[in-house]
Amino acid sequence: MDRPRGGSEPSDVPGGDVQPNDAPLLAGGRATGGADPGFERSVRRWLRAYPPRWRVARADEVLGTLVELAEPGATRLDRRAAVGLLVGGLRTRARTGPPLHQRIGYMLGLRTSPKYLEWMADDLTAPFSTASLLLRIAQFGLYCLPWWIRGDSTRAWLILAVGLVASIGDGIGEHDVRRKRRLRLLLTQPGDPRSGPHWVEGCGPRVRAAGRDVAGATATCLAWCTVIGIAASPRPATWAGAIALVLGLVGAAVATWRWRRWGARGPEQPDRVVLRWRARSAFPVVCFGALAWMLVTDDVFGPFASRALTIIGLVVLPATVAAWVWSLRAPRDVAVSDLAWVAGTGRPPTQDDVVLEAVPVGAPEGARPASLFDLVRTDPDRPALG
Amino acid sequence: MAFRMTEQAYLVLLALADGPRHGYGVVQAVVTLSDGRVRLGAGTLYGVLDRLVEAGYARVSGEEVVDGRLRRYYELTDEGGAAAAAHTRELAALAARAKRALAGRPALGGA
Repeated sequence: MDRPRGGSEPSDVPGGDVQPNDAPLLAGGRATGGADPGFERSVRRWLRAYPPRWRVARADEVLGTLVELAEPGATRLDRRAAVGLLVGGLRTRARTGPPLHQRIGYMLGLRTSPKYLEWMADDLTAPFSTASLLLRIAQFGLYCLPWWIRGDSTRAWLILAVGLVASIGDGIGEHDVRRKRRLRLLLTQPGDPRSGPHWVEGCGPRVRAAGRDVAGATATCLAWCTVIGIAASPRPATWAGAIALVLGLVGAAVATWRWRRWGARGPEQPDRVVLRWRARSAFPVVCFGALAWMLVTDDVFGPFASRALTIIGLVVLPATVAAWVWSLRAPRDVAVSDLAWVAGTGRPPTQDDVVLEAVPVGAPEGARPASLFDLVRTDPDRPALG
Repeated sequence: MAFRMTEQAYLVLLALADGPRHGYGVVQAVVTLSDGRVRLGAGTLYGVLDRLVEAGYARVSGEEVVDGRLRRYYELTDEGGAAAAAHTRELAALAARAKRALAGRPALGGA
């Protein structure tokens, strides 16, 4: 495919739990020396109040100034300077962002004026935010508030359940949704200014979720929901439950046999990056656990919900636990899609192809929003597959 | 949007009047110009510099790395110099009017 490539090769992306903004923001990490590491970390943490595009261009300069202004031997930013950066960052965000009516239009899927292209790019290339997911769920909480006030808790729970599933579904598919939005909103369109940095259609790596993290989170969710379901069932031991358990164990055995036969051997995946889920895994676990508890204690839904949770849990939990256990011994960059493909078909995964992506061009060296693929991590110690 | 000439923006313009300065240099110059009264924090300083550059009153004149730290230098443009001079005239006129207004009060404006 003769298109410009966006993002980094997987090997360029450091692994581990380092947050994107802890890395030097300018190419080559120039001009970040001379500062106490703790002081530099502290400055970069507070600089997150500024828009990403601003940080890319200015963070090293501000750090240099703050180092010169600081008391000798300072290991962290003093409170006054920290509040100054926080206020300055929020003001810069307000000053450089679009007006309210354009923000509302953007939230509804419309493009802002081309003047705010970089603002849109910042938003569409920012790392996944648990805060945004919480906000979406809170939105559904507001929707069901009137029903709760009226005392119709059944309908309120139903709305909340739909909202929770939809929100987490959004979170899981967020990469692809955002990639499509980048293609729709950032590419140069008639009437856009022809000078300066702009975005063109190119190709980028396929983003996959890490199998180990997703299997672990899903197994914990299911275990929690199953235990709640069994505990709340009026008759926990039934034929349906026994059949479900047998089906689940057989499924787990078949899947484990297929994974062992596969042995994580497969094609090289140069056009794939694997997203770690470690930090965000706790969120759906807590949400689904709370929801399951609320459902089984509801007067109307309770008996049905407890039976449904028990059956679903007994069927799916064994295979999910098996996937987790197996993936803990497999290379870290085995994707959840690989696990599902092998378990479902018995065949090794195929090689991922590049995907269409909006690619920035014309930006000065190091000035490209760095966060686009920084959220994507692969294991640096990954043994070669195949 | 019209540029709002705050005291801090005016002091930064004055700090750049005698040649390019980097962030720390501007802070030091502002302390001197304000007789120690105004000490700009980094958040305020870069907010003001951004606004001055957007308004065309200042521009980046170069950068260097000293002791491993990036220094970016800013200089006044002709428009910035004119704006600083105009604001200085306004302040001088205000000071003159203030002096006249206070002249009738011996305890305060008798000097």
